[in-house]
Amino acid sequence: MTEVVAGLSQRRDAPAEPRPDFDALYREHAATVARWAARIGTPGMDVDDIVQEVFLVVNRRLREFRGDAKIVTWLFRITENTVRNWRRRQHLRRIFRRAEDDALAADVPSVRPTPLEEIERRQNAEAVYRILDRLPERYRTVIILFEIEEMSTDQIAELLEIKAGTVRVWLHRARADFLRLQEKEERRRGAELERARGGSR
Amino acid sequence: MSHEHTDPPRWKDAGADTTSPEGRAGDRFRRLVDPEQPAAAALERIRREVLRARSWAPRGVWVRRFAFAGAALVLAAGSAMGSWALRSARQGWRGSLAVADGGVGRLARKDRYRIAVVGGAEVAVGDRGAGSFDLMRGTLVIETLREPAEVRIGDVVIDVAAGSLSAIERRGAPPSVAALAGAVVVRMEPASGGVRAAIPNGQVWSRDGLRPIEAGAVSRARGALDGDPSVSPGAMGSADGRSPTAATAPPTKQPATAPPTRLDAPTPAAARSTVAKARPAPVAAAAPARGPEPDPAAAVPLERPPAAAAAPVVVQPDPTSAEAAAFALALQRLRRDGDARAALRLLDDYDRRYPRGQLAGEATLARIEAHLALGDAAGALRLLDRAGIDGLPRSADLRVLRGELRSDAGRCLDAIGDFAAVVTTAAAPTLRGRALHGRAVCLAQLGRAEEARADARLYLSLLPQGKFAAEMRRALQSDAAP
Repeated sequence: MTEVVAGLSQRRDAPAEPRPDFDALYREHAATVARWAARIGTPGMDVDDIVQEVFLVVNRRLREFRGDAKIVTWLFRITENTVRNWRRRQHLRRIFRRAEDDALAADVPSVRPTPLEEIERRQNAEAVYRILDRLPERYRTVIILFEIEEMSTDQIAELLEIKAGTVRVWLHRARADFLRLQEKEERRRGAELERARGGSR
Repeated sequence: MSHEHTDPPRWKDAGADTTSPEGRAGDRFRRLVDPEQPAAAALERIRREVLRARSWAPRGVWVRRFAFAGAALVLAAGSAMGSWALRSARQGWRGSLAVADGGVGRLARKDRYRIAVVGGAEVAVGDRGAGSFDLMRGTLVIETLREPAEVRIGDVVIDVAAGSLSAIERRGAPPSVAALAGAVVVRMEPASGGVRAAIPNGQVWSRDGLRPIEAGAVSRARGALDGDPSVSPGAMGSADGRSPTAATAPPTKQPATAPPTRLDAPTPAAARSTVAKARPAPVAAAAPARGPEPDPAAAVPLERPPAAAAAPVVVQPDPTSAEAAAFALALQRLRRDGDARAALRLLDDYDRRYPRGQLAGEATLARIEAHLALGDAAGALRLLDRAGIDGLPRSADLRVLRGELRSDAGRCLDAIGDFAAVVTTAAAPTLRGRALHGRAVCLAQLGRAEEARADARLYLSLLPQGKFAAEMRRALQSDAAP
C-alpha cells in the first residue's frame, strides 16, 4: 500500500504522465495490482489469473493511454473492472451451485501448520467478504481501501478520481451498511449454532 | 474559509472492544491476513504470457479508421435489416400457404404447432411469436403444441389454446370453428362489437349456433395434419360439407353422419341473435356475409378467454441470460426429471451454442453427473481425466471423485495423487475423510500397508463416527490394511 500512496503523492503535481513502456510498467506495478486484486476480490479467487487479465488489457490499451489520468488510477480502474467481471461470473456460477459455501471452503488450500487457526482465519475472511459482497460496488471498494488497505480518504479520492467529499459520504454509508449486514450475519450464525446444538441433543 | 476534514478513525485501529458492532467489525478487519504476494517467478511467467498473447487491437490510424468504417457499415446494415424485420413483424405476415382444390398443404414448427390447409385454401403465416395465421379462404386445421396460437379471419380472432386441435373454415361466409380437442375462444375486434365467446371442447360454432362435432372429425383432422390427401374440407367438423368450395371439390370421403345444413336459411338462433340486432353486419366488414350472423350467445360467454388465460406448458428459464436458460434446461432434465440421456443431449446442444460459455465448467460438472447417473463410470472418468479440475467449481469434490473412479479402474497410483491433494487442503472434514479412506484402500492395494494404517488412524482421529470408521477400526484391529 505504501508504494501506491507514494506513487500517488509523487504524481500529484505532474500535469500529464509520459506513456510508459510495458515492461517498466509491469515491473513497477504488477505486485501492486496483485495486492489490489487480492483485496477487492474474494477468497478463492486466483490472483495470478486476474493479474494476467489486467495486464493483457494494459498491453492492448497502452497505446491509447494519453496520460490524462494517473497511471495508478488507470491501472486500478482496470483491476476493479476485471475483478468485477470475475465476481459477476462467479455469481452466475453460484446460482447453479448447491453447496457454494462448502465449495468455497474446499477451494481454499491450507498450507499453514496450524489447521485450526487457518480455519478460523478463513472463516473470518469468508464472513467479511460475504458482507462486503452485499454492498454496492462503490461502497465496497471504498471501505476495502479505507479499512483494509488503510488508505486515507484523500488518497482514495485520488485513486478513484472522485472528490474527497464523495469518498467520505460513500465511506459513511458503506460503514452503516456494513454494520447492518454484520448484525444480520451474526443473527444468522447464531440461529445456525442454535439449530446445530438442538440437533446434537 | 476552508474546512479541514479529518478521516474518521479506522475500526481496526480501535481497541479490542467486541461488545459494540464497530468493535466487532474492527476485530474482523484486524484478523484479515495480508494476501500472499505472487512469487517473482509467477510474475515473470505472467509477463511472458501477456507479451506472447496476441493483441487484437487494430494497429495504426488507418487500420483503426477502416475498422471503424467497417463497424459503422455493419451497424447500418444491421439497423436496416432490423427495421425491415420490424416492419414485417408489424405487418404481421411472413409467408403464405395455399393449396388448390383437392390438395392438402401442411406446415409444422417444432414444439409450436402443426397446421394443414385443405382444398382450395390459403392461409398467411405470421411470425409473431407464438404463431399467428390469417385465414384467407378454405379450411385450416391447427394443432397447437406447447404454445397457443391465433387465427384471424377479418375482424374475428380465434384464440386456440396450447395443446389443442381445431378446425376453422372460411368460405365466403362467417367462419365456422370446431373445437376438436381443447377449448377455443372467438372474439371480435372492439370496432366490431368486441364480443367474446368460448367454444367448448367437442362443439362446432357456425352460423347455425353451437352443435356437437361430427363423428370421426378428430381423426380426419389428424389425417389432414399427417398429410392424408383423401381428407375433404367439409369433413373436419367445422364445415357443414356443403360450402361452395366443397361442392366443387372432387368426390371425397364424406361422412355418412355429416348432417347437411342449409346455408341460406337462417336458424332461429341466428334470427334471435342479439349481436345481429345490435350490429347489423359485424363480420361482413371483413368477409362478405351471405348468411345470417353466428350466434355468439349460443356459445359460452366469458369475461376472459380461458384458452388465452391457460398458462402454456413452457419451461421458465432463468432470466440471467439465454446461456443460463439453456444450461438450466439441461439441469432440470437431469435433476428434476431424472432423464440423464436427455440432459446429455441438451448439454451437447449447449456446448455447440456456447463453446466458450461462462458456465462451461458447470456444464462439464453436469455432464459428469449425468454419466454417473447412467452408471457410465468410464465416461465420467474420461471427462474428469480430460478436464482441468482446478478450473472447475467444487474442484476438491471432483478430485476425490476422480480418485475413487481411478481407484475402481485399477489406476491406484494416479488415484493416490488425487486423494493426497485433498487430504492436505482445508476441505470439509467429510471430504477429507473420503480422500483418506480412498488413499488407504489404494495404498493397501499397492502393498504399502504401514502407510494405509497411518491413513486409517488419521481418518479415525478426524471422523471417529464417520461413514468408514467401522471399516477402518476393523482394519487396524486385525492388523490388516483397509
